[in-house]
Amino acid sequence: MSQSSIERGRTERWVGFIILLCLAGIAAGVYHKQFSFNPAVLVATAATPAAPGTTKPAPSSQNESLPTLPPELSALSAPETFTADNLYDKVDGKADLYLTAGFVGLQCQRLALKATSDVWMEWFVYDMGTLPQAFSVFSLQRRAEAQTLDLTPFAYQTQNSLYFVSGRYYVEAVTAMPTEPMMAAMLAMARQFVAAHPPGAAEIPELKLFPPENLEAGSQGLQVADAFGFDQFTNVFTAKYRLPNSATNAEVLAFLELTKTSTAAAALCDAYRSFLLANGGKEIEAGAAASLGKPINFMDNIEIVFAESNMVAGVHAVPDAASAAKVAQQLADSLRKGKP
Amino acid sequence: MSQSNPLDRRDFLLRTAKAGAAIVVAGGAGLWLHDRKGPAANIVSETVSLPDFSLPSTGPKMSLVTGADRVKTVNRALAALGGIERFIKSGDRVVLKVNAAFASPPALSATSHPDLVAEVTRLCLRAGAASVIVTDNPINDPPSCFSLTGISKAAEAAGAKIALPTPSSFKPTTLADATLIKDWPLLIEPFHGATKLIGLAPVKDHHRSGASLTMKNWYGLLGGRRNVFHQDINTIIFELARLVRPTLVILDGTTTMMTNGPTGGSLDDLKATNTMIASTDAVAADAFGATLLGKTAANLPFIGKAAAAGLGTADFESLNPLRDHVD
Repeated sequence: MSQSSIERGRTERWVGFIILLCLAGIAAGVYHKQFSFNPAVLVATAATPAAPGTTKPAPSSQNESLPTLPPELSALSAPETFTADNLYDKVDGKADLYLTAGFVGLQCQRLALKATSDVWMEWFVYDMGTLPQAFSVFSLQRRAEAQTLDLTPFAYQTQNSLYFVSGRYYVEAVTAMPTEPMMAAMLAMARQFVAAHPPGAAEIPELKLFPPENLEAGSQGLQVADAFGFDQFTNVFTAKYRLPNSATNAEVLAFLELTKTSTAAAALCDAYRSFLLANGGKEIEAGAAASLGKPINFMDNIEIVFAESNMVAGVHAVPDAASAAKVAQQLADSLRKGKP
Repeated sequence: MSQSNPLDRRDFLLRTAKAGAAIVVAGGAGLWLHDRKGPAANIVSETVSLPDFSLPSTGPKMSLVTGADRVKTVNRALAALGGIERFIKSGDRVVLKVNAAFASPPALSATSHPDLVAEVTRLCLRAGAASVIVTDNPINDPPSCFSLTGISKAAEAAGAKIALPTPSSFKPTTLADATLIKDWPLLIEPFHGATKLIGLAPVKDHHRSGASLTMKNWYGLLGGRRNVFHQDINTIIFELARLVRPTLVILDGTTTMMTNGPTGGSLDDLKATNTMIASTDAVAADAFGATLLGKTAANLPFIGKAAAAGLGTADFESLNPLRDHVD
């Protein structure tokens, strides 16, 4: 090799080295800057995972979801519309509950009784995009002492308010003055809403997979993100069981999540077991439901998780092992019979 | 296959010069486009901070009075601490930071109760306060929030002035060694000339933080798109507790919103817990407030953070709270 070739090679190496050094400096600068962002500039937006088999729909147009007023009501304020960007302005710290469930838009309005204008209510229509997502926010806020309404499959009333799901919409009507005329007007408006926005196919097939024995009526729910603090659990359906003859009169929360394949279900089941064990859970001897794997004692409560076909299912935070095993076995049997 | 010509010195220098020129042009363009000042909205001309309104002479104290009548319980709770006169002197200009976050009627207990706001106003004026200003930043339609909660009417009838937030009410503030409160808009206008600050908060469940109590109540002093802080709710409450040093906090546990907070909606979300808490130690007040929600201080990380930083004690019993009851 000639002397000039050697010198040229050496120069090229140095130039290359300097260029790499510059690139490394730029990378270090970017790395450093990401830790000192100004929160005034960077507005975090909540992730919006979709419920099973859904894509994000377009929001309803202005006032489309506010029904015609019944004759006994008049508007106390102009309708308000909120999007994912400003929902917080209306509901403050509860915005995340809706945003994580796929919130599309909110329309609301204050309405008063014409006869006594100091008796008023507020009507909220949350467009959640899909029925399962509307059901999710409905179920997460369900009041224990509620009285079921015959409006739609998912509807209830408390002493001063009513709540229901109609198709993609989750609706709340709230008054602080629950006089008989006001509650009647509220219900009339709800019926008008359902007529104007028929729920369509109002069934959520996953709910039928839960066995009916000892199931608490109206206790089913859907968590679309981070169920039980486990970030891989999305779209987890839940249902409560009460075993009257158990030692502790235990309430048992059963759950299930559908995955795409049986392999994915097995992997998710293993991941949840690992999550529990990594956070202090201990495997205990299997009792009546031995075929479902060893239960895990997690913070003095029992967890059982198993995979069945393309589903992950189990029971969560149950005070006694016998009740946990009984409901888990019932659930496993039901899933085997009713594979989706 | 043809053999390529070896690179000679001339070619190499030419290519190096071109590459160098490209780097210089790209770097120069980047430098030229770089906005050293950042977005215009963040240009800071003046930063502000809140004075320390606490009274070192009073030390950490707490009183717990049970009863269903807010007017009676707050009077007894303050009397147990030595009377309002111990905190409010003649000529004081008092700010009452209420929770008026929602346009929600008082019966739903999502906001400070107007009876309590009115009574504390009266007590301050009776103690010689030169003025009482009632304020909060509800973000969405402040006039409706203050009106429909009943706070405006009750406070004004008792002699207070309502300070509704406007864009000019805010100035940026920065808390030393803070993670979140940096160049952030603070509701400062109502504090001009203020000498005392009393926080009036209801006891509520909160979807993000687990509880909304006296320290969370300072959230209403922030402006801007403060919802970003919900991603790190415990840290922002802790930083607010460092930022705001009140004279006194009054935690209204007469009716507690047990579930579905902070908005609630159904009367079924509420429980009559019939307790009024007055304290110079907001951490202790919140630790007790947690018990009304069926929780402990350990369940609410912001309490632990505040206690660890020396802002108060989570062991409220260590203050030997004065307990009483009024029918």
